[in-house]
Amino acid sequence: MAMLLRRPLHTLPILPLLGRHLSSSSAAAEAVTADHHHHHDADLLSPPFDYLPGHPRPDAKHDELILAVPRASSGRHVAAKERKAGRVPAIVFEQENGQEGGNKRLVSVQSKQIRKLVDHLGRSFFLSRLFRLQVWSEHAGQGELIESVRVLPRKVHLHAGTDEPLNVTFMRAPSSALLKIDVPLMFIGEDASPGLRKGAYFNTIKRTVKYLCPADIVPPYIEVDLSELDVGQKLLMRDLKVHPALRLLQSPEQPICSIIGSRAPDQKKSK
Amino acid sequence: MEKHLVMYLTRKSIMLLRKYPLVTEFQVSKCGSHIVKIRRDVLYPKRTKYSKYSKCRCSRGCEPDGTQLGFGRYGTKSCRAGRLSYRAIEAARRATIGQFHRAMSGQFRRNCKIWVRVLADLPITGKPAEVRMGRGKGNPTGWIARVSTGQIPFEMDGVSLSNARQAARLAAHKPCSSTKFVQWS
Repeated sequence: MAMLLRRPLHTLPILPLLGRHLSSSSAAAEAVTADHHHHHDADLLSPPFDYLPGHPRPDAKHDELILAVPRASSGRHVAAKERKAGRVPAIVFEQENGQEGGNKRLVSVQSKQIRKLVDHLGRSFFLSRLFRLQVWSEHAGQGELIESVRVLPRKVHLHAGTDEPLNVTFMRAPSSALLKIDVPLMFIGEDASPGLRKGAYFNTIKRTVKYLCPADIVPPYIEVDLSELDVGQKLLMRDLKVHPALRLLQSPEQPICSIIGSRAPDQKKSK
Repeated sequence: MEKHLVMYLTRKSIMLLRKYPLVTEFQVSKCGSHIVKIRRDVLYPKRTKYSKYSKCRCSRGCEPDGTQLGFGRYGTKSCRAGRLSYRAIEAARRATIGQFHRAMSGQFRRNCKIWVRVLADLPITGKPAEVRMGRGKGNPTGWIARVSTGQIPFEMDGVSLSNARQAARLAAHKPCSSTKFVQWS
């Protein structure tokens, strides 16, 4: 029974991935600030991480405690019984020791809670923020507390027609973890954009961007300011304002949105 | 021959664009290398390998292609598996474009866009009236697109939420199928 308890945080081994991440980030920071080195920049790239002022942080309104109960077995019949009883079959694992199953645990969570979170936050925003998960031996938070951990929803499987949650995958997110997250983009300033005022077309190319994030500063979304874009201009992935500890896993030269001229006058002109 | 066809398509597209200055795109990956023909402003394949096909079931499993918004910010999602006739698809597209025209008068955003993600490339047959049973399959009479539960036939962008919802409501009355409004989130 003692093995089921969560290990204390100070005994967790430091991940080798964290070291590699720090070395590469330090090299990048060294290259950028070769002429003048700032102590403040060094603090941003090493734990403990914190959100920078002016950057979006998670809304406290949706800081919910997800209650779960252990699930004895897996399979489609057991999953169908769970869904009929109003619960969603879920799994909790961690990225450490992924080749050996990742210390996975089969759980069941309340379908109403997951449905409410996905409906209120949105699917993409639900997958880009952390929640506190508690596993109890009985339903509705009774019995014995087995595990209490911070998790990242990795994947949520909704029914195509009714949007009922069918499956949720959680990943444990201790402070030393580095998570790959598809961060959604939120475009602001459309009313003040000179290109859009001239009647140009706002072309959205990417709606999410994949980042490697430390678990303490997972951005709920990234704000993209369009108030200075004119016709013909575009925004690349390197123009996004994010925490310097976040590492972009896609090419920095990829465009995320552009403002292009209207097509109909071009067609008429070509005729 | 091909040049004439290209000229015909181009002229028809220009006429369409003059009549509707909106940009319309179709996802024709299902059609493969078929040449899409436009007659009286409706789209269907010019020829298929066989002129008569089995209709089969409209549901293609629990996870068909196209259940997530991939192009625009708003869309309509089918709540029931069924068939969409090529005339119904065109009527829904015109209803949406008409709502876009009403939305564009007075708005600063004048570039609405609609994506039609279904293509009516399956011929259906029928026997004429007062013809008895037997003697083989009927002659082709129209084209349908099979739509599964949760599939998104139409997407739109460049328009505000209220206008998109109204356009989806107008488009939902054209096909005999129940749909719901979805938006990217």
